[in-house]
Order: sequence, then structure tokens, then C-alpha cells
Amino acid sequence: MPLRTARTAPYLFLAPFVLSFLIFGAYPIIRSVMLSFYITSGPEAQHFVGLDNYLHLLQDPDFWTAVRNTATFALGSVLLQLPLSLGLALLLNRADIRGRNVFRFIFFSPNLMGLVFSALLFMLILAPRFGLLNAALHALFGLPSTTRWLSTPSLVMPALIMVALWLYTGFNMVYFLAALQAVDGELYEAATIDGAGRWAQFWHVTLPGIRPVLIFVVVLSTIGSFQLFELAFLLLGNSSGPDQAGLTIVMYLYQNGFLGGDLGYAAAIGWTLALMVLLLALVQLRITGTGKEAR
Amino acid sequence: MAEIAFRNVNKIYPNGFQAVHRLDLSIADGEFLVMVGPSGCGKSTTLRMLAGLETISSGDLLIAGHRVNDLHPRARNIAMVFQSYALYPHKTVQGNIEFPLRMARLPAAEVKTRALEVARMLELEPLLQRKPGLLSGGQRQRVAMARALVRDPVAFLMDEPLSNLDAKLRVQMRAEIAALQRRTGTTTVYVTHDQVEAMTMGDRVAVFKDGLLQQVDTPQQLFERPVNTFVAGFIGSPSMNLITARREPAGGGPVLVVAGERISLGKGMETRFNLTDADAERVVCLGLRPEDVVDPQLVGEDRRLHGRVALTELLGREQMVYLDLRDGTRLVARLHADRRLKAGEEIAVGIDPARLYLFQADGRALPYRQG
Repeated sequence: MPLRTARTAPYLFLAPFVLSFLIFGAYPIIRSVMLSFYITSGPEAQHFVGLDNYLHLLQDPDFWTAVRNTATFALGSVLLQLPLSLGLALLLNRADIRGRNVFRFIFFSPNLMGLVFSALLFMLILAPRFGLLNAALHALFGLPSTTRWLSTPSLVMPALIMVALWLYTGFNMVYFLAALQAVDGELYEAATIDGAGRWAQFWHVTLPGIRPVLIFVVVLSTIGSFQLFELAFLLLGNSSGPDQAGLTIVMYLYQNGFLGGDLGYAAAIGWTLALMVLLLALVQLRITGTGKEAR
Repeated sequence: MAEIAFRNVNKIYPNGFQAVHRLDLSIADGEFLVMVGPSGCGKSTTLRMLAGLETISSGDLLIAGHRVNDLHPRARNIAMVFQSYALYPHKTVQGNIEFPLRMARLPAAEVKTRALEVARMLELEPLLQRKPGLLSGGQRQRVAMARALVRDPVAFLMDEPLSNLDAKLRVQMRAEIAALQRRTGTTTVYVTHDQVEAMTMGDRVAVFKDGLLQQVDTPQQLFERPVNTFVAGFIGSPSMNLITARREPAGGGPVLVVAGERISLGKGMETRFNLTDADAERVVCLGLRPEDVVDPQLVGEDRRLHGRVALTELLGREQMVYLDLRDGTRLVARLHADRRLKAGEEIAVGIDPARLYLFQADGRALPYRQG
């Protein structure tokens, strides 16, 4: 009896995870791969079409619009957000900044709010005529206060990027702060004595020191940006904005699968997105040479 | 020409703590000066003020006759070796060595030549393409030295550069650094808490305590003529015995009463001190190095102390004997091991007045005899 207990005990301990993973993780994943080979109309009617969903996707102009929009958002987010996050982190890492903990909290605080609340807030801020942004632009630069941010095709993406900036800059700043604090202070002293100025110190000590975190944040932000859905959905609704200017890949997936009822096609979109993100991450890691160095 | 001078230098931190008090210290061109003292004594702060990593609260710091208080570290042309070595972890050994030259914007060809030259001198050539993470402690230490040497600085500063090495390597690097300094002839200021390093490496040694410079002198002078009980106890290993003593009036020369026994100091001719009666009156403390305890047979009856052995440590040919004197005072003696002593044994030890140190109530040594 004790022998049997000893043999079965490990499996019993593992069971809760394994079972829930199989049911809620593995099964849906496999099922969605299979689903992507079918045309479906609602949960019942299914018709096997092989790779047709994928072939169709490659010629679907709406899908490419979604890819373009999503890529724009990702680029805008990464290129604007991360330098800003790093800049804030550098500032708030300095010991001579008064009340730096207060500032750290303020910049991080958007993350403490629900996304729905943030979206509501920005609907007010971005509103034409009475919105805070238009009022500010009018007061500062004399621009017209009638700009319709969320219903002008060319302004939808900039608006989304701006909201994402507000939401996530402080969050990424925390990653950078942690990384900066891990850089050995004596290296800066050594660099000072070796004749390095501020810029040279940033280039030769700070950047290499935070490199692993930097790469991590870039990859994570890119992946996150490609999965953009809630923000666009909350600000633009199902409509995906004027001229589909706010149509993102996941939004397109949602429209096909849950509004149009073709879960098969939606699954194909999902898997294509997953492949794209995987490829992108691999390219980024390749460019930065991660994993090749001994240290 | 790069003599360094501190003139009445003070360092007070914003929280009011004064790390360095009224420091006056001159370091000659080409000299190897070691600053030594227990942690928190102000030696590292002094070094960092010299490097420009700490501001100077008041007083003047002169390098080659010029006041450099407000000069940026870069402009002082000083090289420093840190305790942690502070090597740039992502750069190769070569990249590390070349870095100061690159920052000085020297032509690429010269950067390379000079880096290779220094690498050759420190036997780092086979390691040039490695990163610091793959080097041993001793190799890292040498890279740090190379990075300092390559610039041809006016002075080297070293902040406990050997404390991260194991004992054997430390002895080896100690000799290497001293030899290197002699070869390059560059003014060097070396901070350590290890008095053995201080005594073996420095042309002169500056002893610090609580932010105050106690004494600066050659190792031999520090050892033979410490100015106070702190220096006497700090320099020399094992530490000097410091025992309460008082002078007793007696005919035929000064007599000290130590642990209830009387030690005749002779007629003022046998000690290293200028023993007038008035001076002897002020004596409150007797210093005796463990190795200066002599065979009782060699001295007269009036120069012996008696005690019970509490503990012995065998050191090979010698033994450390911890002796409890008649009044319970602990005396450490380094004796020959030809007769091993046992705990509890009653023995006598001899005192040679010529090897005694005598201190006054404020801790200062009595005036030493000239010559």
C-alpha cells in the first residue's frame, strides 16, 4: 500500500495542472487548428476546405488593411513609446530628482485603471468641440477645435497610438527602471574616470547593461501591439472606424468569427497572426543576436 | 611632475557626517603611497576626492601645483583601479583596455598599438578577445590594471584592488603591482585595510582613523616609532600588546609597575625614548610586540613578568602564547616552539626595555630619542 501511494502521489499532484491544461489549453489549440481547415456557419454547420481559408486570406484585401493598420500601430507604439519609457526611467532613476517615487507612481498609474474606464476617458478627451485635446490644441496652437479624431480616417491610428502611449509608457518605464537599477554603479565611475561623457556613458554602460530587458520589452511590446483589440473595440465599436482605419487583425478575426459566424476563417486569421508574431519575434532576436553570446 | 597635495581638506556629507578632517598630505612625484585604516576611516573618501568622484567640502587639492578641486575627473588624467574592477562586462578585454584611449579620441592605429603594448606587459595577449565574465579573478584584476596603465596617467589610484582575490593570488599580485609601479614610476595612491599590504608595498604609509590622518611615514618608521597607540596597535601582525602601566618612584632609574610586577627601565639609556623623570611620570600604557617578548634567562630578575598560559597556537617553528598575567591582564607572546607550552602552565617571560613602547594618557607616544 505505501509503495502504491508513493507511485501514484506525483501523478496526483500533477493532475490538477495537467488536466486543466489539457482541457483549457491543449484542446482549444488543437481544435482551433482543425477549425481553420473548415468553413463554418455558426457552431454546427462545418465544411472541410483544407487550406482554402489560408489561401483566401492571402488575397483578402480587408485582411491586408488590417495587417497594415496593425503594423502602423505596432511601429508607432514601439518607436514612440519605448524611447519615452526609457527617457522617463533614466530621469526617475536619478537620485537628485525630488519626489521621484511620486512621479514613478503617477506615470505607472494608468495601468491601475480598467481599460474600459481609460477608453471612456479618452472618448471624452478626444471628443470634438468639448474634448480636452482639441481645447488644448486650440489654446496652445490656435488649431480648430472641431477635429474629429475618431472619425477621420487619417487620425484614427494616431489617436490609438496616443492612447496606448498614455496607457503603457509608464508600465514599460518600470521594466527599464528595474534594469537601470541593476547596472553596477561603479561602471559609471570607471567610465567617468576613463573620460566618458554622459552620452558615451549611456552608449557604453547603460545601453549594454539594460540590453536584455530592452530586447524583452521590444519583443513584448511588438507582440502586444499586434494583438491590439480591446482599445480599438472600445473606442470605435464593431465598426472598426471610418474607412476601416481602425481595423486591426484581431478586430478582423472578431468580425469574421463572432459577427459573421465563420469561426473557421477566424481560426485561420488567428493562426496566421500567431505565425506572423512568431516570425517577427525571431527576426528581432536574430537582429539583436540574443542567445548567441556566452554572456 | 605630478606631486599631489592635500591642503587642509575636509569632507562633510550632506547629512552632516564628516568623513575627512583637516587633511594635510603631500605625495611626491613617483611615490607609492598606501592609505591604510579600518573601514570608515576616510581613506576611500580621500581617494575618491582625489579621483574627482567626491566633491571636496573645503581645503585645496593640488596636482602638479594646480588646484584641481573643481576639475572634472576626465580633466585630471588620473587612472583608477576599483575593488570590483568595474570592467565593462559586454566589452572584450581589448575593448576594455582601449576604452580610455577611444574616449580621448586618439587615432585608431595608436589606440591599438598602445593597448597591445600594455596587454603584452601584463601577459593578457591570449585573452584579448575574451569577455570579463570568462576571466578568473586574477585575470580581471590584470585587465583593470591594464586599463589604468594604458592611458599614461599622472597618477594611479587603487581602491582595495586585491581584496577580492584569494590569499595566494593576493601575495603574488602584491608583488606584481609593486614591481609594475617601480617600472613605470607613476605616482600611486593605494587604499587598503590590510596593514600587511601597506607595509610591503608602500614607499610611505598613511594611517587613518575616524577621518583623521594619524601618521604618515615609511613602513619601518611606522613600525619602530608609532606616534600613538592606534598606529602601534594597527601596524604589525600580530598586534602589539597594550598594557596599563604606571611609574613608581624608585632610586636607580625609572621603574614601571605592570600587572602588579616591577619592571626596571634602567637608567634611561636602554629604551628608545627620551626618559626624563617627568616623561616617565606620564606613562600610562606599555606597548610590547608579541615577537619582542624575550627569554627570561636573558634579562635580569627585575625585568620579568609572570603568568599562566591560557592558550597556545602552534605556527610551525614558533608558537603564539596567550598569557594571563598576575592581575588577569592578557599578554600575547610569540615564542620558540622548541618547548611546547600547555594551558595552565606557570611561566615567566622577559622584557627588554629597548623593545618597549611607552604611551601617555591621551594615547600619544612619549617623545622618541633622536637618531
